[in-house]
Amino acid sequence: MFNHLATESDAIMQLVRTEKLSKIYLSGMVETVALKDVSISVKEGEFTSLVGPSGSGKTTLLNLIGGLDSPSSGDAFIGDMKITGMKKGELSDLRLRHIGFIFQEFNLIPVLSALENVEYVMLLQGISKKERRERSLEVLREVGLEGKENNRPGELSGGQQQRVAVARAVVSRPDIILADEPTANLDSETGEALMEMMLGLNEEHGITFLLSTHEKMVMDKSRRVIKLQDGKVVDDGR
Amino acid sequence: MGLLIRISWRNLWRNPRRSSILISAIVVCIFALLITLSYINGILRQMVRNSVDFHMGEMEIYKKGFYDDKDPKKNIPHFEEILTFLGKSEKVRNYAPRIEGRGLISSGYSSSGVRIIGIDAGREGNITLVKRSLISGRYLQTAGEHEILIGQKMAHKLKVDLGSKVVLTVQTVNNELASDAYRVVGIYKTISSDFDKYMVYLPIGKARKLLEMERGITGIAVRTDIGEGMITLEKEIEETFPQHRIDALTWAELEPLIAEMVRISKRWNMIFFAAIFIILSIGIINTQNIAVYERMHELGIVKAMGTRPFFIFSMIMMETFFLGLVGLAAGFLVSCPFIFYFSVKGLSLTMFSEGLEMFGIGATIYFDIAFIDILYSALSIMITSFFGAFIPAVRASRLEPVTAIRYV
Repeated sequence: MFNHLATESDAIMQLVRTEKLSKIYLSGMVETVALKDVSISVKEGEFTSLVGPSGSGKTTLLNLIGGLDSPSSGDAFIGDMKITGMKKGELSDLRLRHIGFIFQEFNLIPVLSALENVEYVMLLQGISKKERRERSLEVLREVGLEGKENNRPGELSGGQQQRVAVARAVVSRPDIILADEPTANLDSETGEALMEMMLGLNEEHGITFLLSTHEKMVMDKSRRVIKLQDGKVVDDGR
Repeated sequence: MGLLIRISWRNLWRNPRRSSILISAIVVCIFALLITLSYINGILRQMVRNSVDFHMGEMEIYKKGFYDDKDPKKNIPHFEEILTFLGKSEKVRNYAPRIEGRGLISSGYSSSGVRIIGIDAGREGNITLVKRSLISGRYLQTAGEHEILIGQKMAHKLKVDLGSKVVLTVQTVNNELASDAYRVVGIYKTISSDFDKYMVYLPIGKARKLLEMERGITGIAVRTDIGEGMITLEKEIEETFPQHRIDALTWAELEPLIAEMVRISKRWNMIFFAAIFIILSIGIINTQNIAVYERMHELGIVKAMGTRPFFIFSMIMMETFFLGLVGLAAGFLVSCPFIFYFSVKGLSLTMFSEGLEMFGIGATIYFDIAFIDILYSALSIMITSFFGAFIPAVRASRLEPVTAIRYV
């Protein structure tokens, strides 16, 4: 099902690009620099981790790339689309059609079953019921949740919930998946399993992942690590 | 739409205790509303029906000015063509000619002022409930002789019984005083003690003779089922017989006090409705605000995934719509058996019977509610839910995903 990505990955094009991206938060008269002149690029099919201590700007960078927040200066691009300056509705559409999100915890809609959660984005995209159902069941099987389709998030373990979140992020075939510390609230074993699963999806289907983390295990398994400190890129270990 | 309905319905039951409390509040509102409404409607209906059923009919036709002073000189001498018209009209169910006057009734023990109604016994039986309210004796006969029907209160006051003779004294159309004696053939009792103390009935011929009228009648009572259409009938009658200079008056014009009470009650109901709905909408706003606040992180996540603000707005609105709908259904389920029971069996207020009789109301109040009232109540609840949900729904739809996601 991810063949289109696998074939396109051969083209080695820049999928995400930021140019001198800065974000300054104002709290009263106090300015806090969260990001300063960050320029990075992520190619299609890459598995990249943003690492750094708390407050280094990992989440801020992901939010800016994902169009959840707007930069104070600089530009961000997904493919050839310039995110900065987009209207709210356009950003909504961009997130719906081009980006998959995985957050730290409480990722799912608690009143929907695992299957319905996975179907959710496709439903917003207007994909037919039959196709939604087929694709969701296939992805859930792929992330090892066969038989749990009708369980609600409350009936799943933390690791299983994150697997559903991954399934939901990949099922609509976005250009990139942005994951903000996806293993942070999981025990090491579950976290590692989740990481292996994401790596598998990346390898098998060429899905592009951009993660933020401060966990060594994730850093070790990532194919590229970008280190951030005090809002600046201090190392880009390709 | 299916997903929206599913999410909204399930969201409603995420915090069953909170939803149940709000649903209970709606049930209490509906119950209070419908019970109060049907009780007040029951009283008003009884007041109107008693006035209409025991004396007036829905409409009365008089010579212009007669209704103000009840002077039998203001009579309708050539009334036959009006009766023929009424007999042919499809809008008229029944009618009966009358001769009315004021006078004094005396027994060997006491005397009292009365309103004398001369009736065509055959026709009048289909107009009022007096015939059915007889507690002793018989009704007047069509070609009755010197016979009279009086109320129980009057009989007690005059200390007379069936077969007793009473004397009626009136001022005739010739400005003379005239008296005649009548035998009590029937005693009636209605739910209005005032009515029983004041109204006496004679055969129409005897009333005409007593008042020294050569011919004619003073009025016609009309029964009709056309409701609001009475205004048209009223106009039609007046315009058909301009030569008679008659007034066709509806019950509301004949009993302005009752009509005003009905109007005031309707206004009061509106105020009562408004107060209940304001309180309810505050409750809904508060509850849905808390619900939005509690789901802030989740709303942030769904917005981050590209959910449009309108979807989120619709989700909160639909959730509250379901809340209103469940409350409404439960409210009707609780209220309807009560209303049905009291509409059939009535609510007995025997301890207040004397006071109620003064207002022409029986000691048993039969609840009454119209479909339109139920519809208005249902609509009001749904509109209140809509307004109550509006602010939280707008707030939820405008959440910035990056801010909302931080709430856990």
